Amino acid sequence: MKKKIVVVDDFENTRWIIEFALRGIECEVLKAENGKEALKFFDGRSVDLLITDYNMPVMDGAQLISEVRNMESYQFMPVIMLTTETSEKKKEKAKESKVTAWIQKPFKQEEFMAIIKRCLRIK
Amino acid sequence: MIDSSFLKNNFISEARELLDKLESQLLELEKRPTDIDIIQEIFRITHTFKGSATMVGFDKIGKIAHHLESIYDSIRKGVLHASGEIITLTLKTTDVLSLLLEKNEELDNEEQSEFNKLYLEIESYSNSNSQDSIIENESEKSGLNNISEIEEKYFFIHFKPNKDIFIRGINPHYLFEDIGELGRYWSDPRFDRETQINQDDKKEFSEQWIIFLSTSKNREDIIDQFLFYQDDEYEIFQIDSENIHSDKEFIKYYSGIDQLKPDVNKISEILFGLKSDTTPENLNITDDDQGILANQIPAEVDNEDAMNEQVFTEKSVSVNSIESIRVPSYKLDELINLVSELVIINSQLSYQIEGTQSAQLKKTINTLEKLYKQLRNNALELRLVPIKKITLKFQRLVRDLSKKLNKKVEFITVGTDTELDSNIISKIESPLMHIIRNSLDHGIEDEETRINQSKSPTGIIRLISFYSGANVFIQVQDDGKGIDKEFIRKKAIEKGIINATDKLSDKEIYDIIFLPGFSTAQSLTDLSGRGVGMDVVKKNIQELRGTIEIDSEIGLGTSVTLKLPLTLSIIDTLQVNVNEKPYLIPLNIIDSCYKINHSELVNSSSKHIQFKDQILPYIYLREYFKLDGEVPEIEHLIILEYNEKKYGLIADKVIGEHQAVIKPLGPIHKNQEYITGAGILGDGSLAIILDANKLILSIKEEAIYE
Repeated sequence: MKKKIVVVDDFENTRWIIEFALRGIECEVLKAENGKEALKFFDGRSVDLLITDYNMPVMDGAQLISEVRNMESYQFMPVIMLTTETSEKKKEKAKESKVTAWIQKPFKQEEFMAIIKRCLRIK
Repeated sequence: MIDSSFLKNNFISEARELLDKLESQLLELEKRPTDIDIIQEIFRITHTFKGSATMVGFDKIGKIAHHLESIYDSIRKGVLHASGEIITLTLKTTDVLSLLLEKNEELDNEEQSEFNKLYLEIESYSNSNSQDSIIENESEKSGLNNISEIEEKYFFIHFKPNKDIFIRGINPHYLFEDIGELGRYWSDPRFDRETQINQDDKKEFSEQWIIFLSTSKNREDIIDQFLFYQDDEYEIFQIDSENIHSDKEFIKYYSGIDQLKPDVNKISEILFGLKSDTTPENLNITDDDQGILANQIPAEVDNEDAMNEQVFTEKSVSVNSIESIRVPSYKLDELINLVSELVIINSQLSYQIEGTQSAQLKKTINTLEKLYKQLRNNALELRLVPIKKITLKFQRLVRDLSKKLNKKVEFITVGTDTELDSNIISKIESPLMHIIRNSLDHGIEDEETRINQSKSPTGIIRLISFYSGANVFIQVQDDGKGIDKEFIRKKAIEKGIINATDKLSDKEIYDIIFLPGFSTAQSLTDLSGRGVGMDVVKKNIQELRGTIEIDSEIGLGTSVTLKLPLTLSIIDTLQVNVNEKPYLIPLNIIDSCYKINHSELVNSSSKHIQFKDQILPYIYLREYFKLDGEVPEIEHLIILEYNEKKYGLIADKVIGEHQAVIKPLGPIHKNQEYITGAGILGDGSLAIILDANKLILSIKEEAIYE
């Protein structure tokens, strides 16, 4: 079955890069500009993975994750946080957002894919 | 059992590729004799070569390769220097190796003595270092069973995920799956004493496991499985199964979990269970704790399955890593034959539905047609081989010849990724070889002359290939002295090819070079003029339905351009009918078509016809194929052009252009010289494709005969 992946980032370019990086996986990529916009994808249908940026206007990644986690269907969904933050403190904050994994931007394709594949249980 | 001839054949084709690679690397090494990457690569090639050769029983080849390997081993270790001498010797060795391959190691006396000489030479180089190579060889043989002999290691894993684990989107069940793929394991859940389990709140989770794992993998591989876990969520110890007591660190940690002295005997028992094939009873999650996990951790991990799965994934990984597959070319031919059959059926289908009203059917057939076309293109692409495959040999040719002629020449290839049908590739090799040889021998001047003409002392020969439309162009350019038109003119007059009064364009003068019996070499060297002239080159190219052209500027250089079709299996033809039967003539040879009265033919004598101001020899197809039937009053004259000369072909009627897929005819027609094959027309009928070049030759013969 096709995996559904929600990608949230305020930069179109980043969304595009992620979609491009995901081309090796049979999946449907749903893209949104910020947390608020992304919420429309969480309407009860199944989502296999959420990849979100941390800093975004309107609704940031942490808020989005807590919103999503409050919904019954998505409470155990794997979430990958993309962060540009290098400071440990900010990283700590990202960790508190209860994410499955976080990836530092810019990322390397192989590392990114290793994490994605493990989240989706794809060999 | 795989029989040995299969292995041998497989080795031979592999070996050819290795030798090609070796040669190209050697030529690179000559340019950069200290480049360690190249040396490594050469070493690796000789090593592979030796191994495979010995395995299939090519002893001589194996021995030579062994010495080569030692030489390059010494070079990479810095004991020897990659001198020009060694490189030349290695190149010579590659020649001997290919000879041995070709002759299945059965050499005649002369070759044998050559072999012995060379062998002694290489041996003398390699002796310094041969000892340890032999040892390596020994270890290699035993290395075959390596896989099963890899040592099993035992690990103790304390898995203690934080309670937010599910909220982080992590399912710990997967960890067991992943660990199961590493090897066999035994696990036991423990309650965390400090946290009370809240059965109602699934989000909060508190459980720990102790896991014993037997695996051939390393600690890092296990850590990899904990990608999503934080450092404080797991602890991994490698344990010595024989000596658990003495592993203080482990014992200490273990006591910390259990707050008890660990039962070493029990642990030994567990480890023993993992080691042997018998499945230990307590393999997975046990006890009453299972209930907690039942919701979230659905299935037990069956160890047996996990093992199988491991083998399976390893296999699929290795399959993925194969970049190319060797397929016998007849299989490809067969495939392409079948595909073209489909194309034909499809064109018949489209022909048959022309009258129908069903839009649905039309749509389906249109889609089908598109698919067929894609399929055909893909199938044809399978046959394509990059031109790189032969340029390597040219590199070598230029190297050897320039040394012999004492000229400095650089050979540059451009666009060697350009792909051509493998049949064409193999047939243009010797023509190209000849052209390059000519450039070297007649084109490029010697160093002194070049310096005097203020040219760079090193001559350049370029081989450029590129696509254009449905054709591939291959150009050989040199920056030599160019072709002296006046000289050719004089020579041609001398030989009676042209008259002194003839006015010829530049192109016409260059084309004289392609005429049989014309050779500009003042003295025949052993390089050019081996009895193969440019006329043969032209003939070869024309047989491939290609063309060849020369362009030259005196003092600046010469370029020879080959224009070749992408594939041999599809051909543009002109359909003509004789006695209501279709015939196909390759379009590239046709000059023009005219209507003529039958009476003109009757009046013409000795198979020549006067047309405009020319007298053309011709073939009357009706007569040629001994066809009866009514002769129409108006017939068609198709003028063919071959080697700048015109010939006529008489048919009843010209129908039009047709792109034909060449189908080979059966064995009965194998000896039919004038037929290339058959093409199938839209209505499903068969049409014979005439081999125009052969036809013309027969016209010539007849003309001479009469």
